Amino acid sequence: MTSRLLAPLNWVGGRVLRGVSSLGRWGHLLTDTIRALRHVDVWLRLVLAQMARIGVDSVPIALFIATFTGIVLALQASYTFTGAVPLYFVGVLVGKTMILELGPVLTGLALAGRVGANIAAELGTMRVTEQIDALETLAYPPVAYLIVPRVLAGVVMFPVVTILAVALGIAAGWVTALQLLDMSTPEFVRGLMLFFLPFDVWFAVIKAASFGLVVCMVGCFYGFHTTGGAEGVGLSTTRAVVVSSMLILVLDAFWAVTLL
Amino acid sequence: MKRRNETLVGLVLLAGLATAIFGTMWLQGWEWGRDVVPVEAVFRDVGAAGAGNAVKVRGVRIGRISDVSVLPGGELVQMVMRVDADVPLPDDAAVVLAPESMFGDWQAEIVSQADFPHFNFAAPPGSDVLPGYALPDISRLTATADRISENLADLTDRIGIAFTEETARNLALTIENIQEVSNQLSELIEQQAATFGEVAAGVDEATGEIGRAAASTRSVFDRLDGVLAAGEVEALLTDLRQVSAGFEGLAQEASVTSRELGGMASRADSTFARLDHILEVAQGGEGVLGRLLGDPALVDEVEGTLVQLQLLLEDVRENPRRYLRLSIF
Repeated sequence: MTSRLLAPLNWVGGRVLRGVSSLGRWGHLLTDTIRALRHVDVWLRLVLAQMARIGVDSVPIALFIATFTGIVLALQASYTFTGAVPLYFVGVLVGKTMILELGPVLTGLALAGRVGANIAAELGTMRVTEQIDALETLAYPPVAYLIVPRVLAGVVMFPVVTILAVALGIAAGWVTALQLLDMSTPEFVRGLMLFFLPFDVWFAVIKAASFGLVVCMVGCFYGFHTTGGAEGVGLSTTRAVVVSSMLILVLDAFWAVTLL
Repeated sequence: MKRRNETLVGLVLLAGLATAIFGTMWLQGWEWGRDVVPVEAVFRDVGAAGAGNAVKVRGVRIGRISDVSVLPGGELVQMVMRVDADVPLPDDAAVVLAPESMFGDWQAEIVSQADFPHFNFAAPPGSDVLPGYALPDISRLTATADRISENLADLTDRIGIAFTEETARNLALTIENIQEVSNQLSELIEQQAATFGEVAAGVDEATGEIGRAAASTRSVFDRLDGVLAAGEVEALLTDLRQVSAGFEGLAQEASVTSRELGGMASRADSTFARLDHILEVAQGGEGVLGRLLGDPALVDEVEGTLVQLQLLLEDVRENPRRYLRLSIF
């Protein structure tokens, strides 16, 4: 009887304790990562490989998503602007939306699924197979060896992939406007240039870099703290993707409120 | 594998960097290989114009706005535009900012200031800075239209209050009166037109008369010239001078006569005074005349005497020898 009455309290208390514990572990990981930056000789030679895995290997999926996003944007814009709004606003909508919002966010979400899951699974497997423990035994700093290269690669490569995705998305919208919407190139370019500001590019780069940081950090966190064997790896991978996707959207709103 | 990674990463990084840099420059309207010059203008207000908006001359795009900033003092806004160097600008160039469309995009058009004399251009601080003026955007026009609509609504309400049935009747009556007045005015105008026609005819006729009179006057003057030339006027003037001298003598004589008349009048006055005295004496019964006047019997006697005297004179006249004996020697 008493245990039934205390069950909700236990549940709430357990949740809070786990949350606080998780925050503590997050804090530890962040400080360890920052501290590990001083081991340049450890992480520098690994960054390039991670840039290739996180960035270069993600380019095709990012471009694929951006291409179809650009096509859909152009078609939906023309569908929406029928009548009162001049058609060159298709260029405005495609350009602004791809640069400011859809380019960084869709690329971030796509890479959260691909990169975040990859990192979480890889590190989780290393954790459950005690490879990370072995690194510590061999006096290798595991954070500098495993986390810093991935995080740095993510922060650098996410903006690059995003820029390429934005460019291809706009190009796809342009081609769609020419081929399917009976628009001319000057019309589309006029709309594209109409409200463009250089800050738009900076905004996209800042967002993409922050998304890269979050995705890689979340993947590393859940992978680094994986427990429970293969099942734990799967759980960490799932959590990494879900949490990083949610944080991407939260950050998206944060930057919009902060910078725009 | 490592070499391949390096190549791929380098390629992707460079591609991303190049895309970002050249894409930004292109979208900013960077004119590669074209000679552009900066043109500055000042405004009191730039509306929604900003960096990147088009700069046009006669509707042709020649550049873009590159910078907008508030000048120290805060009263003027400076705009820097980068325009094609080979496009000639008007001598009295000025910049007009206006919405390019109804959807928030603005443009700067370089115009001749003389073409827009009613625009209140901002005074530039230097000769190399163009004066500028920003047209009100759609939001300001909408706000103004809103105020106008509110005023119209008030006016309509007031008209609704003031426009009663009686007002309508009065208005109808007024309109009828106006119509009547109009008809009368029309008739009056027709009459006046006829009168004016007559007056004009009269004036025309008078003008003819005046012309003829002028011709007659001219002939009179001609004749007068002839007379003057013949010396008749001089003789006439001599005669007049003599007549005048005669009149002068006559006036002197009249003056003398007048003075004599004065003496005569004074003598008459003394005569009348004496006569008056005599009459007073007579009325007082003094003297012969007074006794005659005051005594009827005496008058009768005098009359009888006069009758006898008359008879005597008649007798003397008839028989003078009876009374007169005339002998000579």
